[in-house]
Amino acid sequence: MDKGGRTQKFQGFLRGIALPLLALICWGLATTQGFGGGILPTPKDVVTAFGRLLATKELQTHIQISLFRIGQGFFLATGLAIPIGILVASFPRFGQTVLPTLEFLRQIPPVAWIPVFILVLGIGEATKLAVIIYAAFFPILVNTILGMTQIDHRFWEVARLLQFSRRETLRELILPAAAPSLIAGLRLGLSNSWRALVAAEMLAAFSGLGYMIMAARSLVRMDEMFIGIAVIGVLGLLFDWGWKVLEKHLLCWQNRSCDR
Amino acid sequence: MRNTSCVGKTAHVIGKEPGFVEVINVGKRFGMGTRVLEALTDLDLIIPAGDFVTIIGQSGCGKTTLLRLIAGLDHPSEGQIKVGGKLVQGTGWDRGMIFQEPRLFPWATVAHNVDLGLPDRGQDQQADQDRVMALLRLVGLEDFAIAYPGELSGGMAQRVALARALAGSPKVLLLDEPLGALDAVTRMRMQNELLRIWQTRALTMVAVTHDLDEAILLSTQIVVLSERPGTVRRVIPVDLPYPRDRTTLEFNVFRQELVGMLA
Repeated sequence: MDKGGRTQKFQGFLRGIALPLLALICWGLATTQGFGGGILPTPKDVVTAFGRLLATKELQTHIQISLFRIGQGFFLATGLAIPIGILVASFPRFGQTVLPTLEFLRQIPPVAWIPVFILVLGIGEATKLAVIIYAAFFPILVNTILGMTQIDHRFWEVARLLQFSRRETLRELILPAAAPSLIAGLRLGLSNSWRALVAAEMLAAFSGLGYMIMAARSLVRMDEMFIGIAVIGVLGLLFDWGWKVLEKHLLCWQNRSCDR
Repeated sequence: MRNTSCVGKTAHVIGKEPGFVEVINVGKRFGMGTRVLEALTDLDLIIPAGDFVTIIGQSGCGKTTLLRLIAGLDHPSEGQIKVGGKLVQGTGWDRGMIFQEPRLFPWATVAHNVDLGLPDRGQDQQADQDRVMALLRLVGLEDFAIAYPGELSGGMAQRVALARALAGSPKVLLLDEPLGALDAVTRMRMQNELLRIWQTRALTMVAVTHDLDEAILLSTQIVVLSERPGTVRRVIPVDLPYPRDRTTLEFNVFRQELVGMLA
């Protein structure tokens, strides 16, 4: 990158960090000057609590549990949604059979199912897994179908002329051609299920970041609640950044940036 | 100039020869909502193996439809098509096709695109790679093996498409205006390349073009289709020796006669 580009990037970074910094200052001023009614913790309280949660490994444990859940659920949702999406796009009759039902289910936020899941699946891991799968499934499905239907019909003719097998069609045509849409769907699915998981952990769990916030609430530990909230946000950002890196690498052919 | 059908340089060939194309009483209709579009009707054409045939005719007269039927991408509504004596019922390795656009997979490198054209790919990686490189050398693009299609010019991309089509060792190569989108200089270079490849391989070429000069320059026979619904209006053998030069008197006399016939 040339010098001008780097300066511009740095300036962009400064602009992006300005608002959080301002909020931090306002928060610090407000709480130390007696606003906030004595309930709101000071920045210092939160930092101290952060150190304590790290030292007791409490935070790490909750993070680990939430990440494990999301990993498991997201993997299963992907394994379900992509094949079903490909089938829906490939076989119109199958699509006509399942799409109306799926469209109906898609309207319901996964959180609405939590009471039902709790009654049917109990308060164990199954409920959380079900919520994650539900939340991740639809964005992945919709974008898989979109990606499939957007494949240039002329490429299908090439596949026919080159006598592609089913496997070759999937590997050489469908997956790479639908990749931009697929990645968009996966990205959306992950952030959807991350948010839904936290909700599920608040209502039906004894571990995980959502539970940590609820536990802090019952102890009126506002400082720990803030830490839970911040960690959820930061991890969500990290996921998104991961997708961006993956996208840049996998779709390098789109902007001529492939490493060679 | 005579107006006899199928008198090319190899009119003696028999129907079982791999590159021999027979179009027998073919009609093709497309349903367009409640309307029916008749694209081709009563079309009979015999293309001897090893000939270079160009198909000319007005826009929308069914030239492309005819190529697609021979390729097996579409099926005739009536009649039948045989290649090498065998009924065409779908696409096959005995026929390759290139289009006006290169239709390369933009996510795959040039080498990978050509590799996808190999009939028995994946058995021996090294052999595949050698064959791909030989094909890229044939079209003069061996230095671009790891480039992506988006990095190529139109002419280069079309040469990759040619290499990919040749990878299947077709007996018949169908060309749907593959040079139509190229600039004049690139186009002339590609015409020579097509001729060179045709002359060094046992290949029947069937090309659609709008360019009369190109038709005269390349082909052993020119097939003129009628207006829609398309049928063969006449088959004109081109009796000029190769290599042809569009600046010679003979070329231009032929051109004059051809224009007179089409008017």
